[in-house]
Amino acid sequence: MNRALPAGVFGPEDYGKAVKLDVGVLVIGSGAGGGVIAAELAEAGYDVVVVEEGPWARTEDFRPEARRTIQTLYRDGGASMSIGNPPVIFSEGRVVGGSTVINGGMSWRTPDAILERWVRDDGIEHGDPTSMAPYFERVEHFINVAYQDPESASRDNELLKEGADKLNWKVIPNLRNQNHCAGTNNCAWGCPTGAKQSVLVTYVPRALRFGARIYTGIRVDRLTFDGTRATGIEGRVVGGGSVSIRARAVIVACGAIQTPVLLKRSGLRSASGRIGTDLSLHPNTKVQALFDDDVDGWKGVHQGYQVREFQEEGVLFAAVNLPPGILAMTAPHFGRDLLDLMTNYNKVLNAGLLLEDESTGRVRVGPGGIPLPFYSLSHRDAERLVNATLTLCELLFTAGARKIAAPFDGTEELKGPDDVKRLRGYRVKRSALELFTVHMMGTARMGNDPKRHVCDSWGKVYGAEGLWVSDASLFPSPIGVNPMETIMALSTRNARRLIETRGLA
Amino acid sequence: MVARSSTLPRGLVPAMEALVRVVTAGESDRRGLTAEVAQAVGEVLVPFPAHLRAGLLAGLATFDQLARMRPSSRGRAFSRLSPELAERVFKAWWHSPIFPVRQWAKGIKGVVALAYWDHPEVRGAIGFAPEGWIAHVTERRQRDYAADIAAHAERVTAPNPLVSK
Ligand SMILES: Cc1cc2nc3c(=O)[nH]c(=O)nc-3n(C[C@H](O)[C@H](O)[C@H](O)COP(=O)(O)OP(=O)(O)OC[C@H]3O[C@@H](n4cnc5c(N)ncnc54)[C@H](O)[C@@H]3O)c2cc1C
Ligand code: SF4
Repeated sequence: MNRALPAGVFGPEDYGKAVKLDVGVLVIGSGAGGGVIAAELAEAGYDVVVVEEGPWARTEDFRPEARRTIQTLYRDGGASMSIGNPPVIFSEGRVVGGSTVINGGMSWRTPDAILERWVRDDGIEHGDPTSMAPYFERVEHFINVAYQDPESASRDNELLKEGADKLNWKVIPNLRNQNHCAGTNNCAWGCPTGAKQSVLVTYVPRALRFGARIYTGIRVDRLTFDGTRATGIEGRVVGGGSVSIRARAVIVACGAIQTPVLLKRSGLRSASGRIGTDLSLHPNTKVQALFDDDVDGWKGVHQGYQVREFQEEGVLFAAVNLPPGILAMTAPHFGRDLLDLMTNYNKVLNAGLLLEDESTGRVRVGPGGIPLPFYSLSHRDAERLVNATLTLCELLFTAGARKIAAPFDGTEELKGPDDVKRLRGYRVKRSALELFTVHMMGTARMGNDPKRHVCDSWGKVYGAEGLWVSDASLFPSPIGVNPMETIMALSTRNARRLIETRGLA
Repeated sequence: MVARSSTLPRGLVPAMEALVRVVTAGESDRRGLTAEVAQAVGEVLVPFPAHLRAGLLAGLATFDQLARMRPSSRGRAFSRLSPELAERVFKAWWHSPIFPVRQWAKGIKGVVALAYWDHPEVRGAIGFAPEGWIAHVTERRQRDYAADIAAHAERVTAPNPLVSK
């Protein structure tokens, strides 16, 4: 028995050569979707087993060590990338608690307009803002969504706010899932204080408290079926050993990149032909601005504010402090220029933007069953990103930035607002955009039409019995704000449906 | 003396070390960290998807050898060039009109930069010292909010059924 693991959690050390189980409800993945639905079903009295590819981690393990963390808690060492013009680098957590362990903690409800659109265009039952409100409230109760204590403010965020205020732009404090966040700016490497209320420290303990068991270090390769009925999974222990689990109900919650690939690897066909399609990414660009005075962005909370002036156009701005290794990795320089930037590390403000994309991509199954995401930015989205990036630069100069590193490949650094104006007339190629994302959504869309959607309004996979999806893949469209709370609320709602209708019996 | 990288193919170590020098403008040599950072790059690459790791390393081998073709290299591989020439050769790939070439240059520079600027000595030298800050604010949080923290921890596991029986 591995003594480092809490009761109810198992790891490769506990398994021997093969894992064979017969369980009630099997949840694959323990992130925002899987963790929530596992806890809710366990409390309702179901026999719940969660299998998770990643390891168990503890608050004490989280340190400000970006490189080590990327190697241990991020899938593919953080180097996942979509294929297309331009490629988009994306990150997924691979740890108990999923991406919530390494996320920024922004906790926003789905905008009403999006929920209304889903009801109207995709026929989502009981998905309107009023019906969804109790699920958001319940999630917010457990993950403690709250505004920050004032002492956790960071200078980079204050500068962002000052710039927005001077321009009279709408800027709001971020709601975050935190309990007296201390302001260590370590969210993406795991919260070292335990203040961030990720799934690891909320729904996972909750699931365990109500009898769920969590098997870590198990990668599910395929679902098994008897006719159209899902009967369990086959997989392997990370590091060696086979896994075979029989289950009366299977819930797939592997995230929007892995879930469609697992469904396809298992031979599942959808009448909609849309398993893996409709991938949205909320692509991000970022810029690095140099200030005269120290910014010390690492002293204080991660993303204290969001600039919402352009939300109706699908654009949000935030200050996103990065530790030196990550800043140097993403800065558009090498050699002397990079050294100069990094020597002034404490004077650098790294800011980014998120775009509610109209472009969509698809995830295919690659060699060896790995996901191959394809995504090309439409010309219109590229133009929106370029304009929004320049608008962000304008804000940073208003906040007092002295210069800004070249925002697009092949352009010069910007020395002031005039340079921003000049660049507005310049035609930036899509391939000159360096894009990044942490919001992958929509590859097993829910809705009322089996010909257009992969899952019904409650996450049940059309055409299969005993099989549900409960993660970001359910989104019928991108939502324009950070997605974690939407995923959690949908999972809560879908759990309620399963309990009330005895859908798992 | 730091052991040579075990995760990097032995034949690529000189090219990787030369690249570390170019990316850090020679600062890695001044700090005596070049070999260690080259090894760290190898470690960064280990969990990468196999095709990406293979692409980055094959790109490095090609880059190293193709440098011989430039008249100014006088037949020498990238790893044997003077710092000035090495920088010029890398710059040519960085600005290449061929997208995959540019992509490779950006990608390999990224992992080298991560490995170098994540090194504790380098982080300290540029004034990034989060450990002390974390200890300070963690203590402040515990001191000021202990009751609230405990209350929420209890709420998290308290019975609260989604559907009443
Ligand atoms: C760095 C970062 C910052 C972010 N910041 C924010 C933020 O501030 N606010 C916000 O709202 N959102 C944020 N997000 C996004 C948010 O965290 C995700 O959208 C959300 O966690 C996705 O939930 P999910 O259940 O779909 O997948 P995940 O939470 O990623 O969970 C999926 C789990 O499934 C496991 N898994 C996958 N495949 C298999 C398999 N075959 N076998 C077994 N297990 C498997 C994975 O290891 C993983 O643990 C961020 C994400 C990242 C990476
Ligand atoms: S900023 Fe707050 S939530 Fe993020 S890691 Fe630090 S204490 Fe945790």
